[in-house]
Amino acid sequence: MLKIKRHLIFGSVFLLGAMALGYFSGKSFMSMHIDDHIFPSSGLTENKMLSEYFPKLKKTPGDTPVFIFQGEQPGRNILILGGAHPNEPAGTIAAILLVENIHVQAGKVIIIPWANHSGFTHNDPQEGSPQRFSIRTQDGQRWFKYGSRLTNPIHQWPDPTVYINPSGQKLAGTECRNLNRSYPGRRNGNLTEKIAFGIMEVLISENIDLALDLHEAAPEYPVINAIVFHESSAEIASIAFMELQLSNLEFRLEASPPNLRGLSHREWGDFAKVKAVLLETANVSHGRLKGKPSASLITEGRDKNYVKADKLGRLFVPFKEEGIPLKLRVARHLASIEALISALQEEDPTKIFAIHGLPSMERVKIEGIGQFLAPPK
Amino acid sequence: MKKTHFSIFMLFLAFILLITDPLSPKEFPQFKQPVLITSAGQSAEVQLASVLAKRAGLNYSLSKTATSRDLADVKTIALVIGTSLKGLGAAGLDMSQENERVSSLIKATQQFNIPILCLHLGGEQRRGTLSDQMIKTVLPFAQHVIVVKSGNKDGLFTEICNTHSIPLIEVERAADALEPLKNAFL
Amino acid sequence: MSEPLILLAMVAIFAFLAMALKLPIGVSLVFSALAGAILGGEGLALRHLVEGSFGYFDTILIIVCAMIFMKILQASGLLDTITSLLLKTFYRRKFSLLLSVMVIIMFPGMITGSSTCAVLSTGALVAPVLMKLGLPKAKTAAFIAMGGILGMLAPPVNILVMIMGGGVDMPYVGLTIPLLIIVVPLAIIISLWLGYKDIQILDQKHMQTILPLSYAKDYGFRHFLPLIVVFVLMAIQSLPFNIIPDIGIPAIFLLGSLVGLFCGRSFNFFKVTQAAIQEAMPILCILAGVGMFIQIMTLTGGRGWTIVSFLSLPPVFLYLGIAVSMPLFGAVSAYGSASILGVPFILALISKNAIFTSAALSAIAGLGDLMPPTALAGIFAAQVVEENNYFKVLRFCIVPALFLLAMGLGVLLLTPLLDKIL
Repeated sequence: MLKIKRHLIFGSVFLLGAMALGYFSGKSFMSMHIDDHIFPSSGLTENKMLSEYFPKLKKTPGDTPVFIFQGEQPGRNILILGGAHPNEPAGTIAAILLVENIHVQAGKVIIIPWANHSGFTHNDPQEGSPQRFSIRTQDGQRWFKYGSRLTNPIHQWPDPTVYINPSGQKLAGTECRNLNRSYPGRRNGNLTEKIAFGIMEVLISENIDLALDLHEAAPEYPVINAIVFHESSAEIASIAFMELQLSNLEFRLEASPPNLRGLSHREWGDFAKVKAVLLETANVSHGRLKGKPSASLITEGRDKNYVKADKLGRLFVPFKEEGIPLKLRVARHLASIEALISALQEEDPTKIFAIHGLPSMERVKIEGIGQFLAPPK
Repeated sequence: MKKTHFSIFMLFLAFILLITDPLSPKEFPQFKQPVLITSAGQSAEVQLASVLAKRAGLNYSLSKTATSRDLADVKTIALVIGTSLKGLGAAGLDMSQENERVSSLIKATQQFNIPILCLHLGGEQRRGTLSDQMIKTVLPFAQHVIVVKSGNKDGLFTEICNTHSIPLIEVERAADALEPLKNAFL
Repeated sequence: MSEPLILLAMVAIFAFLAMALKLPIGVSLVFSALAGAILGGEGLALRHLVEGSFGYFDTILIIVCAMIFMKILQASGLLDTITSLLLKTFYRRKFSLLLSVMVIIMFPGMITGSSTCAVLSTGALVAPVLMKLGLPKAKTAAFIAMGGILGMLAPPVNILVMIMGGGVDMPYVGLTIPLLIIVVPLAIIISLWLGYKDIQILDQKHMQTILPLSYAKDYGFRHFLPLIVVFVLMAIQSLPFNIIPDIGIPAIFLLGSLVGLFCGRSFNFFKVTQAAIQEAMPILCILAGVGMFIQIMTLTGGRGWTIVSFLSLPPVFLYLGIAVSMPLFGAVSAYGSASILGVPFILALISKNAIFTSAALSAIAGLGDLMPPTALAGIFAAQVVEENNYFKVLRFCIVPALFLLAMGLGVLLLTPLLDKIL
């Protein structure tokens, strides 16, 4: 009798403890389901949702805002994608910076800052990532979510053992939640494939000429500080590369391998016939060698483990004590975007494109990102 | 008399300078067009060379995986050196197949007396075991070499070019290779 | 407190709780993780503890469902039937018995890329056969555990290579031959090493005396349906095209279990599932604990410090570092080892053929499934033969594990040569 009573007490205490743990951690997890704010510039002409291009995404966690900046004159159409991997913040922040600053006179710019919207609602287990990081604007701090590389399993589950993506490539099962392995998407596929399909619909229906996918990579990964181009954009990528070298920015020029399927730089070019380019900067916060993960690791980008790894010759990008801060990574993305746009113009000057308000690399590097972000309201 | 001596001395000096000036473009070999641009190692810099050739106004064609069959009417081969595993994968080649292709291409150029202009535009980032292997194999057959300076930090290009008396030009950045490229086809 | 010190403190607290206070391993892991969070200045870090444990959510589900499936095979009499069939077929031929049993164990691992699946499905089927033919309990468990690991490594599905490939953008193509080069010789050597001496050749009379009751005649084809359902569904998933939607391994095992309800001896489903969960509980608890431990280890900088320390080894010792760290880190699970260490190592060996390098590294990482406390292959193999002390099993795994390690390192060192030959 006593034994049963003891079991009962232990069981109840255990259950209550588990409920408390569930409540407090659950509250923290749920907070990730609230979107950050974006304050578009007055140049915004239309604010759509991805589901307007692909209705099957409506009311799903994969639906995401699409910001359209239509110039008065027709011209080149450009798509800029951030947040395909929500743990690569330079891409997302560069895209948000553009939404909050640009005005297009001729041509059209479409920006999707949270491409994998679901990926922004959770963090990768066992990575110890912070949920958010902040950037100081002229009037207060703006907070941004730091998500996961993959779609939230709450939204898409279970993973298959082996994922065969829409292009027939065999990948580890978890990759079925990786947007940048799911192109060109599937109309009736899983959520991630539907997002990919929706983005393909944007590329096709908006007659996009140049599409840029903004990413980050860990410094130990060989494709870093890179311009990865589909063969149809070989020339503009090369021109931009040389242009960036003149601004003392070193990049790696990498051709998109035709046998590595499902990635934006491959399938956008093959299926939507657009000039597809993927850009990578160096981010320590999702590297495997990182020290203590924190919000400042994301924004300041300083890490002594990486300094050591650099000395050991294990990295593909120089990494010194001063680190690689977010403002530098965002500035690199902005410089690359500018260089690619001007290369596009050089390739065919008959089609016009005019934009202003694009924050320059130098200014972002010196004044910081916050100078170009609207204050929180 | 003194004046004549001085003039003779000056003329002699000018002559010496003319034949020894390492930067005189006259000393560099001149190449003829059309030029075939191809890769040795399948790095993406072959695309850079193609853009540079376009900007230099050259009559060129680009074939990343050119073989001896592509040499008809070609007057110069521009070999862009740099090994990229990604690039090799993209071309559906492995390292040994690429080595074989490049070696047989070089053999054919020697057979048809087609001069080789080598470019290494990837700088320091495009060095390393695989690229170095390619550099050592290909460079001795070049008539002229243009290299981005950071790629020659350890003097590998200088050493091979000195051994085989090949004129070498170092440029700061890939874009700076435009002038020497133009000059090579004057 | 510096990063290595926090890590050291976490390990010390874990050892104290598990050894001195004799708390269950899983619980000790949870408390050492909690202590690590506090020492690292992260407070209780509740969100991190829960998030970390979810790293093994899918593995936990697979284990629960596979355990239920195994118990149902036992309860329905199918296990006895299969044992009887295998005994009748192989009792006179030692060599072919060992090899076929090895292939049978490996099969589910080959198509799911999971050693646990192999151990808990076909491992459970062949264990009685091996024991009845004279293989000691612990050796039988070692045989099954090694079979599970080899199955996990063998083509067509090697998740470890896929994880590493994902980290370096290497498509999962062209791996069949390199993986077969590693697995086939080992499957032969290991099965003979573990079994040849002990397995007895029987005469028919003797065999008849140990033959368990077969229910094949009573229930006919229907009797085998649970196994057929599971294997067919698994095999379909590994085809290069989608015929039916992938329901995941846990659901496949559950479906097999439900079918098992109607295909043999009658039994109480709830009692059987309860027993299954009870048996699986310690390892489930360990997995959740390891997940928390790793998350806090990462959060306090210990993980990064560990990886950089291994990468700091001079080039001569790099291979030694691989040989030691990958199986050790496998205590977290072989998948974890492949992701956390496999990717940096593959990058450190970038000048070599990535296909051979990743195949070889996967072999070494696979050993992680023998490493306590998780030992996903070993502990379940011990459970299958009802051996309570895993270390007795581990003792017999040491030599086969060294074979596997030697093979992995050999392929790694000979990569340039293999690259040329093939």
